[in-house]
Amino acid sequence: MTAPKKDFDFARPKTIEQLYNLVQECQHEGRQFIFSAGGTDIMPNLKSEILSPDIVISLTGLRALNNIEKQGDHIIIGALTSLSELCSNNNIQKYLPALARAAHKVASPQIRNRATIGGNIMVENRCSYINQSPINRESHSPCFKIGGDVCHLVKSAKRGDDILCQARFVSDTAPLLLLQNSTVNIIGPAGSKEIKLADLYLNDGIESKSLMHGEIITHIKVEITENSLSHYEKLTIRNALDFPSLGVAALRRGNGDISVALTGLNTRPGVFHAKLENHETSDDMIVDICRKANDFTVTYQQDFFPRGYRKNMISVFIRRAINKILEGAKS
Amino acid sequence: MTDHKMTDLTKGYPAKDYKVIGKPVPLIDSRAKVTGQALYTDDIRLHNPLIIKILRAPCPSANILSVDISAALALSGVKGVLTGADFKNNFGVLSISKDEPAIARDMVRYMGEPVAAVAAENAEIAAHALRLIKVDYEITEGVFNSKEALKPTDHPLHPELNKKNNLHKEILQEFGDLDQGFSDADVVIKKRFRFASINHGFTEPHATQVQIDNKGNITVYSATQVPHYLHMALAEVLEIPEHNIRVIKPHLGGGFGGKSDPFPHEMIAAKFALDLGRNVKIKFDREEVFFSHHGRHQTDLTMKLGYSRKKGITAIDLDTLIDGGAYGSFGIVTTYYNGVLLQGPYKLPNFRFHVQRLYTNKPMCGAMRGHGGVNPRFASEVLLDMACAELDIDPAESRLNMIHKENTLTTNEFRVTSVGLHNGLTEAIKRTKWKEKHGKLPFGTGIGVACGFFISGSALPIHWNKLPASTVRMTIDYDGGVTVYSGAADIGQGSDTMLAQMAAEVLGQPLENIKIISADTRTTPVDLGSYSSRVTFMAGNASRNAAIRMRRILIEAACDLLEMIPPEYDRPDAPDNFFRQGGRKPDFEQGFLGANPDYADGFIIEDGLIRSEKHNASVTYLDAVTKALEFGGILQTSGTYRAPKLGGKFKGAGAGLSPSYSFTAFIVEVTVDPETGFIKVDKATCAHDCGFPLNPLAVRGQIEGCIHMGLGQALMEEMIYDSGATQNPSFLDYKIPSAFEQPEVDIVPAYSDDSEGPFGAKEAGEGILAPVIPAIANAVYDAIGIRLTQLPMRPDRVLSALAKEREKNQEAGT
Repeated sequence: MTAPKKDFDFARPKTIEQLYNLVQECQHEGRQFIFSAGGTDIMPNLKSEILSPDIVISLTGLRALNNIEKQGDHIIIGALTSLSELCSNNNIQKYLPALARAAHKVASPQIRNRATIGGNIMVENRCSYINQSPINRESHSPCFKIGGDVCHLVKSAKRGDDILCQARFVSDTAPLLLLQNSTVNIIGPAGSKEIKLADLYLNDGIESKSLMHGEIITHIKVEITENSLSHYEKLTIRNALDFPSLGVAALRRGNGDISVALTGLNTRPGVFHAKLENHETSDDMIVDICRKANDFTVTYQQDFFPRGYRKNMISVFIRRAINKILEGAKS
Repeated sequence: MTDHKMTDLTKGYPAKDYKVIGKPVPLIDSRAKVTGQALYTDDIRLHNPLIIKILRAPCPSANILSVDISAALALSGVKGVLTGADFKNNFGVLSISKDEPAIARDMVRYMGEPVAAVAAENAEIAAHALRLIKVDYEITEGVFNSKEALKPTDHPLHPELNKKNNLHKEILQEFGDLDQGFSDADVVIKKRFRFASINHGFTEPHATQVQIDNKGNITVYSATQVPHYLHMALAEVLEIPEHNIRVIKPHLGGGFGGKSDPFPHEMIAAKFALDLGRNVKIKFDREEVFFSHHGRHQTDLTMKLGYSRKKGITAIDLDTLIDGGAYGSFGIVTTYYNGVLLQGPYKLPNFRFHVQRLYTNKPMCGAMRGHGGVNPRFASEVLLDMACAELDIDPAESRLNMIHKENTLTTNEFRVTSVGLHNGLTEAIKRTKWKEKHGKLPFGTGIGVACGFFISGSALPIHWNKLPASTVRMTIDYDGGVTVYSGAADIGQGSDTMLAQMAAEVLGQPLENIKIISADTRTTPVDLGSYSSRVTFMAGNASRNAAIRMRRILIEAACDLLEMIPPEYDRPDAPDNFFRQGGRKPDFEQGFLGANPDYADGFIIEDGLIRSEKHNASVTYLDAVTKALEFGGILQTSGTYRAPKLGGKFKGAGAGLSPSYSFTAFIVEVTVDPETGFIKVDKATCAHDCGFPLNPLAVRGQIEGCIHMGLGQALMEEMIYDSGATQNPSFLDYKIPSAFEQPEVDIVPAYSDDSEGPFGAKEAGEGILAPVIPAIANAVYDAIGIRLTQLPMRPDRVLSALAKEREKNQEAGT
């Protein structure tokens, strides 16, 4: 896995204009291109030949996309902001400490120095049958995600199913951003638009993001919720390096309502809300939200932890995240 | 966080006024390593090397019907392609199981096995050429676990053995009277334990470079723990004289047993160099390291242990299956070690073990730190803890009472000499406030104890001969610089530093004045290699002995200058002064220097002077060197080590024989989260009896490393196979603990002074590991009342065990 199978060209446009000239050129010539921000997600996939583009277009030349700004009751985060910067930024620490915590829980310091927030919310879904070298994938018949005709997790799956691929959603930062009603600014050959972050995510492990090929995320706009408290809890066997076996972001609003977002437990993130007024006690509310989270979860044997264990840990981690918030509310 | 307050481990030893040993010395190559100056195998720049890549089988079990290399050979830039047909001779580190081909011939025995290799002008061409090789496989039914491998079959992995199943080695030994032993016991416990296979996880992947001259001589630079065995295997596989081959081990980034075999890629690289007359280079990806594996055997064992209040352990009966994977490697030794290493640290009067090693269609297993002893140790230490719990006896106290006394024979006739465990464990009990904690901590926190025992060098060589186990050559140049030549392979454990310390101490020189040339089969005398924790004891003694001989020459030269009679001859029964006769008679007798002679000769060498204490007269060190050089022009000595004759007369008596044994005690404190099942090791207190600690800093490094490695096997490491396919061949998916998981480490002295070890030292690299794991398990029991019998002790297994325990308690109505 030291070298990609196929040589590829590399370009680093400095402006959006240069970028789209290049994209048009590629489309015109029929050259396969992929975008790279920090590159930490695509490099292993290039080496293991999951990706084999003709050209890698680096976005790191687009300097304007590397900033964090407070605008009124929103924080605007440039998509190319590194996770390290995110962790240490004053505005993030002040207004979105749980996001800083979630970003800090990603991988290792070296990777956080390169990996970007845009890349993290766009991180490719993972499966133990996909994220392997060619020889390992060859040892099993090729699965749907690499153009084959089988899913090794759901043997009965067939083309035409609603969900063809069970590769897991594993972003650590997305859950918190979802709870903060974030939107993403997208530009593409057809112009720019703003969509809800929730609308970025689709149901299938193969086509897991609604971003069209050629589109990029420029900014993430995060709402600062008055009087709210939030927290992120992540299950991994080690306190470093690993993708979330499961991740829980929880947010408690000033009125006591609670929202929870999950990662690592399905092909997409899950978001659940509960209103205190609909429940007799706050514990009832938590029970309700745990039930919703469990219903949402679809686990397979594709993680260090067995599926049953991960499922059992959902309620534990939701409660822990909420308790952490309540502790914070007291102090 | 690690506690960096260091306990003085040399406290308690008689004041010996050592200048260099016993002091915490940074390893002599550490600066070069941390600054990037040290050259590892892959860093060496040979002129214009061809790059080799290996085509590996994508299936674990198949017949190879044909290999078509024509398209690959035709590719521009490809200089050669090798297949199984190019290698006639198999190899293997043990002369009794040479069962591995450099490239699979007719049969694929594990996924990732080499089926062809390409040498090309660059890596891209080589990789491209691999995709042009067409291999026609006939997929066959594989055998993927030990139980299956025991079943009769017409198609065993190794038909050449003429066996009707896939049994590689079976050993059954019995000592004492088992029935008597169990009837003497107050409690008998039997339990089944299961252990995942684990990988060494060394940092530097395997790499080899071969340089060839115009006469067909090759220099093989390789990341190996065993240059000498590699040298022999290359000659045998390539069918060329050994003197045409030079093996050099450059700086090495970790071995742990994973580089202690000759490897297929080393054969392939040397063959390409010879065939093509070109320098060649190969380096593994991490995935290839996992495919090559050679790690700890997957183990399925049942152990029955009898314990008596008065007598301690009365009997152990062990039945074990170890899954060896596709080839032999060190497996026969592993098979023995699974049994015989239970002979310590406690008296064990009655003992039986039945171990079977099986061939399966998985990457082969071999030697790994704590070789063969780790998994049975887990079982025995957990069973002992259970017995103590049942009888309501303090498990630490009970251990104290059973430890071997110094200078005794074990039941299977191991000669136990120095033992520092009793005082070490006593100190650990005191330091941890064990008695205030064990059984008394709140639910969720616990403390556990376990002990260990390991060889300090295998007394017998792998290839039987009468040569010394280690020989060191030492020279002093006209400028006074001392050079130590040793075949011992520094694999990061610090053996070069240790060799230098020996010479510096004896010759009264600063450490900087000692240069080491090691692990080069052309320039250094034979040392058998860095395995079985043998180097400090064996190469250390050899270096010390060479230095003592050198010292005598210098003293004689000094006496000559001072017109004194040399001390050795200053007595009535002294022989003639060989030095005055212009040379020293060679004396190959074992006893020439004694195993560990004192070199108190009435002289002090320090600060560049050689001074007679008796006559208060001195000459400079350099004048003595010059004088000594007058006679032969060079100043050179050799020192050797050979183990004394040891062991019983029964078959298999040689397994586990060692000139000395190390002992270890661990007390571990844990927090277990009963909701998630996570085990957090908060603190590990270690008392390791390594004899006199030559370099307390290096000992500390080994202890911290063993704890980290033990932690990995205990909590998370596991080779995962899906029908023979390695599912986690990366450092992302194979979970080695991060620095966050490392506990606070407290090291307490465990005093012993070994009469045969160099300056009283024994091993400190391997024996430490085994007790870490059961100490954690016993602490988990103390914390939450469950016994874990399967490694790794993953959180989900903790929760399942807790749930079962609750069910049991509910049924019992408690």
